[in-house]
Amino acid sequence: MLLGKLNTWEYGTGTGAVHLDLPFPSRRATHGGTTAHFTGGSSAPASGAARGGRRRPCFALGSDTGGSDAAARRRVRRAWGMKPSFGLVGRAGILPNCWSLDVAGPLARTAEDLALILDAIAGHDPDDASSIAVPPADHRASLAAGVAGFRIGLVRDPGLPVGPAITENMLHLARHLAAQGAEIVEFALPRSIAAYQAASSLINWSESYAIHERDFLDRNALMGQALRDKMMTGFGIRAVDYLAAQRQRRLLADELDRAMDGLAALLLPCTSITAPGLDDADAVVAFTRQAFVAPFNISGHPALSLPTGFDGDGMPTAAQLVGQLFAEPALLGIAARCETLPAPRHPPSVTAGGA
Amino acid sequence: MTDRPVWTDEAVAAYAALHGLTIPDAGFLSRLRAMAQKASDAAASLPRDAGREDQPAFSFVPAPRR
Repeated sequence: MLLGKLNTWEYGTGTGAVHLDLPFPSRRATHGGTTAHFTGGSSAPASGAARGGRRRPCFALGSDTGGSDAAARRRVRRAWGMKPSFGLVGRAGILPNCWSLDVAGPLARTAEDLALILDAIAGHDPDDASSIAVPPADHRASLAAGVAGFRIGLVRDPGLPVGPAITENMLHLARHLAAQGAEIVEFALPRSIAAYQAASSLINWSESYAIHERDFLDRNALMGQALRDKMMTGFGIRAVDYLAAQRQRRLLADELDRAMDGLAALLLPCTSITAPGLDDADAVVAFTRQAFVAPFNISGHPALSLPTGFDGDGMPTAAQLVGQLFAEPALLGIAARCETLPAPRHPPSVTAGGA
Repeated sequence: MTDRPVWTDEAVAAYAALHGLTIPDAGFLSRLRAMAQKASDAAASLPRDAGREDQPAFSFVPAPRR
Protein backbone atom coordinates (compact mmCIF):
# COMPACT_ATOMS: atom_id res chain seq x y z
CA MET A 1 0.00 0.00 0.00
CA LEU A 2 1.48 3.31 -1.03
CA LEU A 3 0.95 5.78 1.81
CA GLY A 4 2.66 8.69 0.12
CA LYS A 5 5.92 9.54 -1.55
CA LEU A 6 8.28 12.46 -1.40
CA ASN A 7 10.63 14.28 -3.68
CA THR A 8 14.37 13.92 -3.20
CA TRP A 9 17.65 14.61 -4.96
CA GLU A 10 18.55 12.80 -8.17
CA TYR A 11 19.11 9.18 -7.20
CA GLY A 12 18.97 10.44 -3.62
CA THR A 13 22.58 11.52 -3.69
CA GLY A 14 24.98 14.34 -4.45
CA THR A 15 28.01 16.10 -3.05
CA GLY A 16 26.47 18.26 -0.35
CA ALA A 17 26.48 21.33 -2.60
CA VAL A 18 23.21 22.89 -3.73
CA HIS A 19 22.99 24.05 -7.35
CA LEU A 20 19.21 24.25 -8.03
CA ASP A 21 19.96 23.51 -11.68
CA LEU A 22 17.48 20.78 -12.51
CA PRO A 23 15.03 21.49 -15.34
CA PHE A 24 11.86 21.24 -13.31
CA PRO A 25 10.36 23.40 -10.61
CA SER A 26 11.12 22.43 -7.05
CA ARG A 27 9.39 23.70 -3.99
CA ARG A 28 11.86 24.32 -1.26
CA ALA A 29 11.21 22.91 2.15
CA THR A 30 10.76 25.41 4.90
CA HIS A 31 13.10 25.49 7.84
CA GLY A 32 12.44 27.45 10.95
CA GLY A 33 9.61 29.19 9.15
CA THR A 34 11.64 30.30 6.14
CA THR A 35 12.90 28.85 2.88
CA ALA A 36 16.15 30.76 3.12
CA HIS A 37 18.10 28.09 4.99
CA PHE A 38 19.56 24.80 3.89
CA THR A 39 17.32 21.96 4.98
CA GLY A 40 19.82 19.16 4.47
CA GLY A 41 20.39 16.58 1.81
CA SER A 42 18.32 13.93 0.16
CA SER A 43 16.30 13.09 3.25
CA ALA A 44 15.23 16.66 3.93
CA PRO A 45 11.77 16.06 2.43
CA ALA A 46 11.31 12.97 4.58
CA SER A 47 12.36 14.73 7.75
CA GLY A 48 10.16 17.66 6.84
CA ALA A 49 7.19 15.40 6.35
CA ALA A 50 7.76 13.64 9.64
CA ARG A 51 8.31 16.70 11.79
CA GLY A 52 4.63 17.08 12.44
CA GLY A 53 1.97 19.62 11.81
CA ARG A 54 -1.50 19.67 10.39
CA ARG A 55 -2.13 17.20 7.57
CA ARG A 56 1.35 15.73 7.90
CA PRO A 57 2.16 12.08 8.45
CA CYS A 58 3.53 10.96 11.79
CA PHE A 59 6.50 9.18 10.24
CA ALA A 60 8.54 8.77 7.09
CA LEU A 61 11.17 6.31 5.92
CA GLY A 62 14.56 7.34 4.64
CA SER A 63 17.94 5.88 3.89
CA ASP A 64 21.27 6.93 5.27
CA THR A 65 24.60 6.45 3.50
CA GLY A 66 27.23 8.83 4.78
CA GLY A 67 28.83 12.16 4.09
CA SER A 68 26.66 14.49 2.10
CA ASP A 69 23.27 12.89 2.28
CA ALA A 70 23.46 10.61 5.28
CA ALA A 71 23.26 13.20 7.96
CA ALA A 72 20.53 15.39 6.64
CA ARG A 73 17.72 13.70 8.40
CA ARG A 74 19.60 13.67 11.64
CA ARG A 75 20.36 17.27 12.17
CA VAL A 76 18.19 19.85 10.53
CA ARG A 77 14.57 19.30 11.24
CA ARG A 78 12.85 18.95 14.52
CA ALA A 79 12.17 15.38 13.59
CA TRP A 80 13.75 12.38 15.24
CA GLY A 81 15.75 10.21 12.87
CA MET A 82 17.11 6.74 13.37
CA LYS A 83 19.77 4.86 11.48
CA PRO A 84 19.46 1.27 12.72
CA SER A 85 22.41 -1.12 12.83
CA PHE A 86 23.66 -2.00 9.37
CA GLY A 87 21.78 -5.09 8.24
CA LEU A 88 18.86 -4.84 10.68
CA VAL A 89 16.36 -3.44 8.18
CA GLY A 90 16.03 -4.99 4.72
CA ARG A 91 16.63 -2.76 1.73
CA ALA A 92 15.11 -4.78 -1.09
CA GLY A 93 13.15 -2.43 -3.32
CA ILE A 94 15.08 0.69 -2.31
CA LEU A 95 17.13 2.35 -5.04
CA PRO A 96 20.70 1.76 -3.85
CA ASN A 97 23.14 4.59 -3.37
CA CYS A 98 26.00 2.58 -1.87
CA TRP A 99 25.48 -1.10 -1.12
CA SER A 100 27.88 -1.38 1.77
CA LEU A 101 26.79 1.80 3.59
CA ASP A 102 23.07 2.27 2.87
CA VAL A 103 20.80 1.83 5.88
CA ALA A 104 17.03 2.30 5.88
CA GLY A 105 15.34 3.72 8.91
CA PRO A 106 12.45 5.73 10.30
CA LEU A 107 11.95 9.43 10.92
CA ALA A 108 9.25 10.43 13.33
CA ARG A 109 8.21 12.90 15.99
CA THR A 110 8.80 10.77 19.05
CA ALA A 111 10.91 7.88 20.29
CA GLU A 112 7.76 5.81 20.61
CA ASP A 113 6.91 6.33 16.95
CA LEU A 114 10.45 5.34 16.00
CA ALA A 115 10.06 2.17 18.06
CA LEU A 116 6.71 1.32 16.51
CA ILE A 117 8.04 1.74 12.98
CA LEU A 118 11.21 -0.20 13.77
CA ASP A 119 9.11 -3.03 15.16
CA ALA A 120 7.39 -3.15 11.79
CA ILE A 121 10.40 -2.93 9.47
CA ALA A 122 13.23 -4.72 11.31
CA GLY A 123 13.95 -8.32 10.50
CA HIS A 124 15.82 -10.52 8.09
CA ASP A 125 15.25 -9.71 4.41
CA PRO A 126 16.15 -12.65 2.18
CA ASP A 127 16.21 -10.34 -0.84
CA ASP A 128 18.90 -8.12 0.66
CA ALA A 129 22.33 -9.78 0.58
CA SER A 130 23.49 -7.62 3.50
CA SER A 131 20.53 -8.36 5.74
CA ILE A 132 21.47 -9.96 9.03
CA ALA A 133 19.23 -12.39 10.90
CA VAL A 134 19.15 -11.34 14.54
CA PRO A 135 16.60 -12.37 17.15
CA PRO A 136 13.56 -10.09 16.98
CA ALA A 137 13.31 -7.39 19.63
CA ASP A 138 10.35 -5.57 21.10
CA HIS A 139 11.49 -2.01 20.62
CA ARG A 140 8.37 -0.43 22.03
CA ALA A 141 8.65 -2.40 25.25
CA SER A 142 12.10 -0.93 25.82
CA LEU A 143 10.84 2.61 26.06
CA ALA A 144 10.02 2.44 29.75
CA ALA A 145 13.35 0.94 30.79
CA GLY A 146 14.92 4.22 31.89
CA VAL A 147 18.61 5.04 32.03
CA ALA A 148 19.52 4.30 35.64
CA GLY A 149 22.89 2.60 35.73
CA PHE A 150 23.64 3.19 32.06
CA ARG A 151 27.09 4.49 31.22
CA ILE A 152 26.92 7.05 28.44
CA GLY A 153 30.04 8.30 26.72
CA LEU A 154 29.96 12.05 26.18
CA VAL A 155 32.01 13.23 23.22
CA ARG A 156 32.67 16.78 24.26
CA ASP A 157 35.32 17.34 21.59
CA PRO A 158 34.49 15.49 18.37
CA GLY A 159 37.55 16.85 16.60
CA LEU A 160 36.24 19.99 14.93
CA PRO A 161 35.06 23.29 16.40
CA VAL A 162 31.39 23.05 17.34
CA GLY A 163 28.94 25.93 17.60
CA PRO A 164 28.42 27.00 21.22
CA ALA A 165 24.64 26.51 21.20
CA ILE A 166 25.02 22.97 19.84
CA THR A 167 27.47 22.10 22.61
CA GLU A 168 25.51 23.90 25.31
CA ASN A 169 22.26 22.16 24.42
CA MET A 170 23.99 18.78 24.25
CA LEU A 171 25.51 19.29 27.69
CA HIS A 172 22.07 20.28 28.96
CA LEU A 173 20.81 16.94 27.68
CA ALA A 174 23.73 15.11 29.31
CA ARG A 175 22.90 16.69 32.66
CA HIS A 176 19.28 15.69 32.18
CA LEU A 177 20.27 12.06 31.64
CA ALA A 178 22.61 12.16 34.61
CA ALA A 179 19.78 13.46 36.80
CA GLN A 180 17.83 10.34 35.87
CA GLY A 181 20.56 8.00 36.97
CA ALA A 182 22.85 7.66 33.96
CA GLU A 183 26.58 7.78 34.50
CA ILE A 184 28.10 10.26 32.06
CA VAL A 185 31.74 9.59 31.20
CA GLU A 186 34.05 11.42 28.85
CA PHE A 187 34.69 9.65 25.56
CA ALA A 188 37.10 10.43 22.72
CA LEU A 189 36.67 9.03 19.24
CA PRO A 190 39.65 6.80 18.47
CA ARG A 191 40.45 8.60 15.21
CA SER A 192 39.90 11.96 13.59
CA ILE A 193 36.67 12.59 11.73
CA ALA A 194 38.77 12.92 8.56
CA ALA A 195 39.93 9.31 8.88
CA TYR A 196 36.35 8.04 8.88
CA GLN A 197 35.31 10.43 6.14
CA ALA A 198 38.15 9.38 3.81
CA ALA A 199 37.14 5.73 3.96
CA SER A 200 33.44 6.55 3.76
CA SER A 201 33.88 8.85 0.78
CA LEU A 202 35.97 6.42 -1.26
CA ILE A 203 33.48 3.64 -0.68
CA ASN A 204 30.50 5.89 -1.40
CA TRP A 205 31.93 7.41 -4.60
CA SER A 206 33.04 4.03 -5.94
CA GLU A 207 29.86 2.10 -5.31
CA SER A 208 27.58 4.92 -6.39
CA TYR A 209 29.49 5.16 -9.66
CA ALA A 210 29.25 1.42 -10.15
CA ILE A 211 25.47 1.64 -9.66
CA HIS A 212 24.97 4.51 -12.10
CA GLU A 213 27.84 3.99 -14.57
CA ARG A 214 25.62 3.41 -17.58
CA ASP A 215 23.61 6.57 -16.94
CA PHE A 216 26.77 8.61 -16.48
CA LEU A 217 28.36 7.39 -19.68
CA ASP A 218 25.22 7.77 -21.77
CA ARG A 219 23.27 10.65 -20.24
CA ASN A 220 25.47 12.78 -18.01
CA ALA A 221 24.26 15.95 -19.74
CA LEU A 222 20.86 15.34 -18.19
CA MET A 223 22.28 15.19 -14.67
CA GLY A 224 22.44 18.11 -12.29
CA GLN A 225 25.88 19.24 -11.27
CA ALA A 226 25.80 17.63 -7.83
CA LEU A 227 25.11 14.16 -9.21
CA ARG A 228 27.46 14.63 -12.17
CA ASP A 229 30.26 15.74 -9.85
CA LYS A 230 29.78 12.66 -7.72
CA MET A 231 29.85 10.41 -10.78
CA MET A 232 32.98 12.14 -12.02
CA THR A 233 34.64 11.53 -8.67
CA GLY A 234 33.83 7.84 -8.78
CA PHE A 235 34.86 7.51 -12.43
CA GLY A 236 38.61 7.54 -11.78
CA ILE A 237 38.91 5.60 -8.54
CA ARG A 238 41.23 2.62 -8.74
CA ALA A 239 40.17 -0.78 -7.47
CA VAL A 240 43.10 -0.83 -5.07
CA ASP A 241 41.92 2.44 -3.52
CA TYR A 242 38.38 1.17 -3.05
CA LEU A 243 39.71 -1.97 -1.41
CA ALA A 244 42.05 0.07 0.79
CA ALA A 245 39.00 1.98 1.99
CA GLN A 246 37.12 -1.23 2.73
CA ARG A 247 40.10 -2.72 4.56
CA GLN A 248 40.47 0.47 6.54
CA ARG A 249 36.76 0.38 7.29
CA ARG A 250 37.06 -2.95 9.03
CA LEU A 251 39.88 -1.66 11.21
CA LEU A 252 38.08 1.57 12.05
CA ALA A 253 34.85 -0.24 12.87
CA ASP A 254 36.54 -2.82 15.09
CA GLU A 255 38.51 -0.14 16.90
CA LEU A 256 35.44 2.01 17.54
CA ASP A 257 33.40 -0.95 18.71
CA ARG A 258 36.11 -1.94 21.18
CA ALA A 259 36.34 1.64 22.45
CA MET A 260 32.60 1.60 23.16
CA ASP A 261 32.85 -1.52 25.28
CA GLY A 262 30.94 -1.08 28.54
CA LEU A 263 28.95 1.90 27.33
CA ALA A 264 25.23 1.88 26.67
CA ALA A 265 25.55 4.76 24.23
CA LEU A 266 27.56 7.71 23.04
CA LEU A 267 26.24 11.26 23.05
CA LEU A 268 27.75 13.73 20.60
CA PRO A 269 26.76 16.50 18.21
CA CYS A 270 25.44 15.75 14.72
CA THR A 271 26.98 18.77 13.05
CA SER A 272 29.45 21.48 13.88
CA ILE A 273 27.15 24.34 12.84
CA THR A 274 23.42 24.93 12.62
CA ALA A 275 21.66 25.23 9.27
CA PRO A 276 23.31 27.89 7.12
CA GLY A 277 21.64 30.24 4.68
CA LEU A 278 21.24 28.88 1.17
CA ASP A 279 23.05 31.93 -0.16
CA ASP A 280 26.28 30.85 1.57
CA ALA A 281 27.51 28.05 -0.68
CA ASP A 282 30.65 27.38 1.33
CA ALA A 283 28.69 27.08 4.57
CA VAL A 284 26.22 24.70 2.94
CA VAL A 285 29.06 22.36 2.00
CA ALA A 286 30.69 22.84 5.40
CA PHE A 287 27.42 21.98 7.10
CA THR A 288 27.45 18.66 5.30
CA ARG A 289 31.14 17.87 5.46
CA GLN A 290 31.89 19.07 8.99
CA ALA A 291 29.54 16.62 10.59
CA PHE A 292 30.12 13.79 13.03
CA VAL A 293 28.15 10.97 11.48
CA ALA A 294 30.78 9.23 9.34
CA PRO A 295 32.23 7.10 12.18
CA PHE A 296 28.92 5.33 12.62
CA ASN A 297 28.17 4.96 8.93
CA ILE A 298 31.55 3.25 8.73
CA SER A 299 31.05 1.13 11.85
CA GLY A 300 27.39 0.25 11.32
CA HIS A 301 26.40 1.20 14.87
CA PRO A 302 22.82 2.41 15.33
CA ALA A 303 22.55 6.18 15.64
CA LEU A 304 19.60 8.31 16.56
CA SER A 305 19.28 12.06 16.26
CA LEU A 306 17.12 14.15 18.46
CA PRO A 307 16.35 17.83 18.74
CA THR A 308 17.99 19.59 21.68
CA GLY A 309 16.78 23.16 21.27
CA PHE A 310 17.72 26.19 19.22
CA ASP A 311 20.56 28.60 18.76
CA GLY A 312 20.34 32.34 19.12
CA ASP A 313 19.08 32.73 15.57
CA GLY A 314 16.27 30.25 16.05
CA MET A 315 17.95 27.45 14.12
CA PRO A 316 17.42 24.00 15.64
CA THR A 317 20.26 22.16 17.29
CA ALA A 318 20.55 18.40 17.50
CA ALA A 319 22.56 15.70 19.18
CA GLN A 320 23.03 12.08 18.30
CA LEU A 321 22.89 9.02 20.45
CA VAL A 322 24.88 6.04 19.23
CA GLY A 323 24.16 2.58 20.58
CA GLN A 324 25.86 -0.77 20.63
CA LEU A 325 25.42 -2.90 17.54
CA PHE A 326 21.92 -4.41 17.39
CA ALA A 327 21.07 -2.86 20.74
CA GLU A 328 18.31 -0.63 19.39
CA PRO A 329 16.00 -1.32 22.36
CA ALA A 330 18.49 0.21 24.80
CA LEU A 331 19.09 3.13 22.47
CA LEU A 332 15.38 3.84 22.18
CA GLY A 333 15.00 3.56 25.93
CA ILE A 334 17.58 6.29 26.39
CA ALA A 335 15.92 8.36 23.66
CA ALA A 336 12.61 8.11 25.45
CA ARG A 337 14.17 9.64 28.55
CA CYS A 338 15.56 12.44 26.42
CA GLU A 339 12.00 13.34 25.48
CA THR A 340 11.45 14.60 28.99
CA LEU A 341 14.20 17.17 28.49
CA PRO A 342 12.93 20.58 29.56
CA ALA A 343 14.08 22.40 26.45
CA PRO A 344 12.40 24.94 24.23
CA ARG A 345 10.25 23.15 21.71
CA HIS A 346 9.90 26.12 19.39
CA PRO A 347 12.39 28.69 18.11
CA PRO A 348 12.38 31.94 20.04
CA SER A 349 11.49 34.00 16.98
CA VAL A 350 12.16 33.59 13.32
CA THR A 351 11.42 36.11 10.65
CA ALA A 352 9.46 34.48 7.88
CA GLY A 353 11.09 34.93 4.53
CA GLY A 354 11.38 33.21 1.24
CA ALA A 355 13.51 32.67 -1.77
CA MET B 1 50.23 5.16 1.57
CA THR B 2 50.41 4.83 -2.17
CA ASP B 3 51.71 7.06 -4.92
CA ARG B 4 49.31 9.91 -5.52
CA PRO B 5 48.44 10.22 -9.19
CA VAL B 6 48.54 13.76 -10.52
CA TRP B 7 45.94 14.13 -13.20
CA THR B 8 46.67 16.21 -16.28
CA ASP B 9 44.15 17.17 -18.94
CA GLU B 10 45.83 14.73 -21.31
CA ALA B 11 45.73 11.90 -18.78
CA VAL B 12 42.07 12.54 -17.98
CA ALA B 13 41.14 12.69 -21.65
CA ALA B 14 42.99 9.45 -22.37
CA TYR B 15 41.41 7.71 -19.38
CA ALA B 16 37.95 8.89 -20.43
CA ALA B 17 38.46 7.67 -24.00
CA LEU B 18 39.66 4.32 -22.72
CA HIS B 19 36.56 3.90 -20.57
CA GLY B 20 33.93 5.11 -23.02
CA LEU B 21 33.25 8.61 -21.73
CA THR B 22 32.76 11.37 -24.27
CA ILE B 23 34.18 14.75 -23.33
CA PRO B 24 31.78 17.36 -24.74
CA ASP B 25 33.76 20.50 -23.96
CA ALA B 26 36.70 21.96 -22.08
CA GLY B 27 34.58 22.77 -19.05
CA PHE B 28 33.58 19.14 -18.67
CA LEU B 29 37.22 18.05 -18.96
CA SER B 30 38.31 20.58 -16.36
CA ARG B 31 35.64 19.45 -13.93
CA LEU B 32 36.43 15.79 -14.53
CA ARG B 33 40.08 16.47 -13.83
CA ALA B 34 39.25 18.28 -10.59
CA MET B 35 37.01 15.45 -9.39
CA ALA B 36 39.57 12.81 -10.34
CA GLN B 37 42.19 14.68 -8.34
CA LYS B 38 39.81 14.93 -5.38
CA ALA B 39 39.34 11.17 -5.41
CA SER B 40 43.06 10.49 -5.76
CA ASP B 41 43.87 12.82 -2.88
CA ALA B 42 41.34 11.10 -0.65
CA ALA B 43 42.70 7.71 -1.63
CA ALA B 44 46.24 8.80 -0.88
CA SER B 45 45.22 9.69 2.67
CA LEU B 46 44.14 6.13 3.41
CA PRO B 47 46.63 3.99 5.28
CA ARG B 48 47.60 0.78 3.52
CA ASP B 49 47.39 -2.09 5.96
CA ALA B 50 50.55 -4.04 6.52
CA GLY B 51 48.97 -7.45 6.85
CA ARG B 52 48.04 -9.19 3.62
CA GLU B 53 45.48 -11.22 5.50
CA ASP B 54 43.42 -8.13 6.42
CA GLN B 55 40.25 -8.53 4.39
CA PRO B 56 37.98 -5.75 3.17
CA ALA B 57 34.96 -5.00 5.32
CA PHE B 58 32.52 -5.93 2.60
CA SER B 59 33.29 -9.56 1.84
CA PHE B 60 31.08 -12.09 0.16
CA VAL B 61 29.26 -14.42 2.54
CA PRO B 62 27.36 -17.29 0.92
CA ALA B 63 23.82 -17.84 2.10
CA PRO B 64 22.10 -21.22 2.35
CA ARG B 65 19.60 -22.04 -0.37
CA ARG B 66 16.13 -20.69 0.36
